[in-house]
Amino acid sequence: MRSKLIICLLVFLVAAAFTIEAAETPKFVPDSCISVVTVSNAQNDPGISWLLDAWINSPRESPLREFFKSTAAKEMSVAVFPKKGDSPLYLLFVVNFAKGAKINKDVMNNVIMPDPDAKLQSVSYKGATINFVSVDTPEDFSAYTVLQDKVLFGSDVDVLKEALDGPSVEKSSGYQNVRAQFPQAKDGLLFADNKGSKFLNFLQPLEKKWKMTLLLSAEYLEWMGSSFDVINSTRVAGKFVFQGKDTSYIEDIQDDAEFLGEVFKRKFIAEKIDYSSEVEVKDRTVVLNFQIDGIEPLWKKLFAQGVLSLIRPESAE
Amino acid sequence: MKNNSWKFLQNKTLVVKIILGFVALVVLFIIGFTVWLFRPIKEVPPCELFPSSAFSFFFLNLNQSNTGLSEIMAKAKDEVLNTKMGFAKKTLFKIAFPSVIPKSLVGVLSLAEDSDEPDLVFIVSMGKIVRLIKIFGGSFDTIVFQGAPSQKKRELRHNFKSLAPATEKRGPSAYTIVGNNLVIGTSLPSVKDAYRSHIEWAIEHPAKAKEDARRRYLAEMLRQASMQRDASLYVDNNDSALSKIFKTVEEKFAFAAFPSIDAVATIKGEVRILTEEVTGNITFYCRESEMLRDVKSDVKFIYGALKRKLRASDIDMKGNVQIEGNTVEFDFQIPDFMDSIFSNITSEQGDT
Repeated sequence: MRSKLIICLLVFLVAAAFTIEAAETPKFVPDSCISVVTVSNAQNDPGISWLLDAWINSPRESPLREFFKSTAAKEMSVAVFPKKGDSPLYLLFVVNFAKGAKINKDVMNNVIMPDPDAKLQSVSYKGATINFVSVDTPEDFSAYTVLQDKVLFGSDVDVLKEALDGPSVEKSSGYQNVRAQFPQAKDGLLFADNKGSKFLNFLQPLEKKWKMTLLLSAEYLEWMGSSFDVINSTRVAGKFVFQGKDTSYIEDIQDDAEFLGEVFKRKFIAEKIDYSSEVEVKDRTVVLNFQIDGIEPLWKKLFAQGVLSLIRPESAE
Repeated sequence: MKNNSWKFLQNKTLVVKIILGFVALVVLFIIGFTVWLFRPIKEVPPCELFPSSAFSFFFLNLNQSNTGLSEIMAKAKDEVLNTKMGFAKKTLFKIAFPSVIPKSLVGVLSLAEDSDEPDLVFIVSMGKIVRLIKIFGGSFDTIVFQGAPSQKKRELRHNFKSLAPATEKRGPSAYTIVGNNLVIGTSLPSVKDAYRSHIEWAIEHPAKAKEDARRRYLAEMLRQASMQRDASLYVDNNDSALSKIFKTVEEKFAFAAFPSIDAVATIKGEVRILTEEVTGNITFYCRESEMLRDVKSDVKFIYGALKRKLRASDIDMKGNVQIEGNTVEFDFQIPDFMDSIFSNITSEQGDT
């Protein structure tokens, strides 16, 4: 269970390993999301481009991987939404390509049609054409739409309609606070919104499956953010920021941050990877700064296992 | 007419005699059974039943004069009586409940030299009631071995029960009765080893002097523990048995939970069960003072993991880890322990 937990935390890291300057993709992420991860500089940054290549060449088959093989992405955002119906994970994936890039329609169809016999349908909404397949519980994605140089994949048609409707997460005060916390953010930015206990409600079923409470202070958090710099294939540096609702439970939040740092440290000791971290507290903000060296084998292991499977509640045991 | 009446009277007397005879037999059986059940039993101290490669034990005093424990028992009794149970079973349970509670429970961990997997042996001091296992052996086997086929073995001039060969291991694998104790373990060799310790307790083994010395030291620690707290824990890591177990588990899960374990020589713990809360203290005696900070960090991490694990069951744990001299001290407290435990049991019953 603990190794799953570690890898799940690494997912946030992977996730966040992709963003920032003048990010285009978060504009299409509705503010009802629980968390969003934006990765930028996908082609120019040596660390991020290595990560993308490693994922594309990992042994696990994924239709999304084929999609990335066929075209060069500039930036991408993955957003998780509150669970809907029986769907294990409700997702929106926004990818931004270089202007004029050709996007292969068959490859996009394959992402939403793991079953080749499924019937592809389409619907028009606010000037966009949404292609979709009718499935009771999509594994990852069952709909997509193309907007000029962007492709939006969604767990269903509704999440794509919401993306077109707005309002965007970019306009939310929490997200703006996270951006303000990381003015120098390089490769990746993660934002987890706990407004109306959204993040808490997402975390609790996972914790129930793990039979372990990961964050004791989750209910006292206003938001959580993270920024990473994937320096190269072996080195990562970054920080997690935990913003409390007020200062009353700051010690509990600090305890959680220290525990997370220890969990990382112990995983990396076992994998013979160098890791160092420190926790800082200021008013109602707790920051966990860390540096990792020699993480390449762990990335490969994570990609081989499948990234999304780790945060899918049904497989989180 | 007179003859018929006479015959009827004769038959009636015969029936009455048969009934009286039957009643007398039943009474004699009950008296005999009671005498057999309550005749003196050989008291074997649990410390004489430590397997030769034992390195750790935990002790739970189930003496009902303890207020906290007796309250748990009373609540447990109420919980059982509140379940859907027939009148006869309820009455039998009410009568038998206090008597079937053992006096103490000792769990002993041992690690054979050529093994990475520890064996666990429970020594349950049951008093004279242990004889009932001999009568209801079949039903007891079904409970212990969870319905799996079992076999009886006679070795060292003593009877042992174990899982039949090639049976999948799901829980305890073997048990035996030694004096007033039920000895139940995860493997037949460990249960046999525990019995051998008892029969050879008074014999000196010059070839096994080190083993004997350690076992006698553990026995003395248990004797002290049984006179003091409600629950105690002792781990002897001088021969690195605990280090070996941690390293095996850490390699298996690729996670370093206690990387400084080699620096710990012994671990001693005490737990007090009170009516409203459980309090405890665990002391880690270190070999080298320069490793104290690392040991403290590891203990703090384990406390954090335990706290988060318990919180998932709505149990709150508070604690403090600090360095004192050449030791790392971990003090903890679980408030509202009783309510948390029983609300969990109730919710689990509700789920099923």
